[in-house]
Amino acid sequence: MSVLREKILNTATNLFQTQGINSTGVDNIVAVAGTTKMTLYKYFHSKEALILEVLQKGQSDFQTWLDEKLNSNSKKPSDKIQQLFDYVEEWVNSPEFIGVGFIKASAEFPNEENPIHQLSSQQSREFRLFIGRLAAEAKIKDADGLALQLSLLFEGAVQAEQMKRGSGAIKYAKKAAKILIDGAIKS
Amino acid sequence: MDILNSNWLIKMLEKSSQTPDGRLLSLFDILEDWLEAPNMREQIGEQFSKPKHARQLQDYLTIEAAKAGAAMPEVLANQLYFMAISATQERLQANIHEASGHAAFNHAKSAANALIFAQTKKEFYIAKSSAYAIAASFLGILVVAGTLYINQNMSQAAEKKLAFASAMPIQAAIPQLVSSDSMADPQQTAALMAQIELMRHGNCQLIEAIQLPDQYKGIYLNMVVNGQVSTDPREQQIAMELLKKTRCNYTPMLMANSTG
Repeated sequence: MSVLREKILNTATNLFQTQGINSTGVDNIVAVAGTTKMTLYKYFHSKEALILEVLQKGQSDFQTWLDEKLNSNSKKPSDKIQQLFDYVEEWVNSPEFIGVGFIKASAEFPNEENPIHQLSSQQSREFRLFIGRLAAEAKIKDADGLALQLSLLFEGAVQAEQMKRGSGAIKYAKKAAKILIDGAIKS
Repeated sequence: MDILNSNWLIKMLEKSSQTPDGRLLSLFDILEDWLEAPNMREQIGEQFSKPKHARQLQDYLTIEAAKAGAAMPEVLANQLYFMAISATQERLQANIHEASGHAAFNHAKSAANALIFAQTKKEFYIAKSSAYAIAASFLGILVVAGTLYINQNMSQAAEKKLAFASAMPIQAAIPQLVSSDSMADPQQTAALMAQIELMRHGNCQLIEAIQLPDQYKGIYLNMVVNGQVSTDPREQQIAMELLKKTRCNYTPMLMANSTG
């Protein structure tokens, strides 16, 4: 990937999260990235294409990081689901954390026909399916149900965290997740 | 109707339950019922897909969270608010293939319940553990002082020590547990339940709940008085200590009368 392309992508990711997707103009992005509109449009055909790419990259970076953590530290099949929120907390508390793209995007693009809305709800669904697979590996009976509970906790905590940085929301979500997981494993 | 910003929702929440935790959880029930009303779905519009902040509702939830004893009421209120919105979206989008979507509110309520528990029950003891340590070291000083005193005047010292013991804070008598997340040993739970059950058959002088420190009041009333034994090991240990302080006479009524 070209260095300039990556720089535009990173700048856009930051600006979208900090000042909102709709309220960040292309002019703003190129000014901060130190490039021109022409260059931006050479790499991304439209602002929409740029937003879609930002979302895709953000989620795949997170998922790759998470998979690596889970795969290197789990021994039993039930370890992964129990460690999930430890890593989510680590990620949310890291200085680089600026939010979850799909949560922000789905609120900013409520129209179901919009490709950005569609991608963000697909990402939300995929993350829940991922949790569901971890739950199924741990032999939890209602894996889908637990996955929904945990993803609601996750999204609720991230939204609360986006309102007030360092609020501790994720810490309580982790405790709640532990209660739910322990309960689901026993039943 | 813009339900999230309506006075109706606050009124419904207010009368939904006797307890603050109950009122927080009712948010999910009320939204679910409201969604099932005839023709409601056509009128919903964007309020859940593009939620704005509902100041009044969030403030109400914050107050209830504080009443419930949340460590961080505003954070809990915000989390519950967003979870309720997500559950509503989930329910609206549920299709026939996803069984969990139809039960979205039930799952959201379970998650909310766990979250309320995490903020109101466990965290408290972690925050208080330093208080236990202080109380324990204070007791240590008392014991040392008491022992020194004995050397000087045996009988007087014995009296003093008794006075110390009765004034001893309950905190000091309760050992500090390392883990707050583990569930109590089932055997310990059973023992506690048996003890409480036994108490029902005796003539007991219950501790006046009002004299207890705030953190023990709830545990005492729930477990000892109402007999609802929680599985939290710390709470169980506190209940056990409180039980020891309850004096009971197990002599059958008739015999007690005949001797008296």
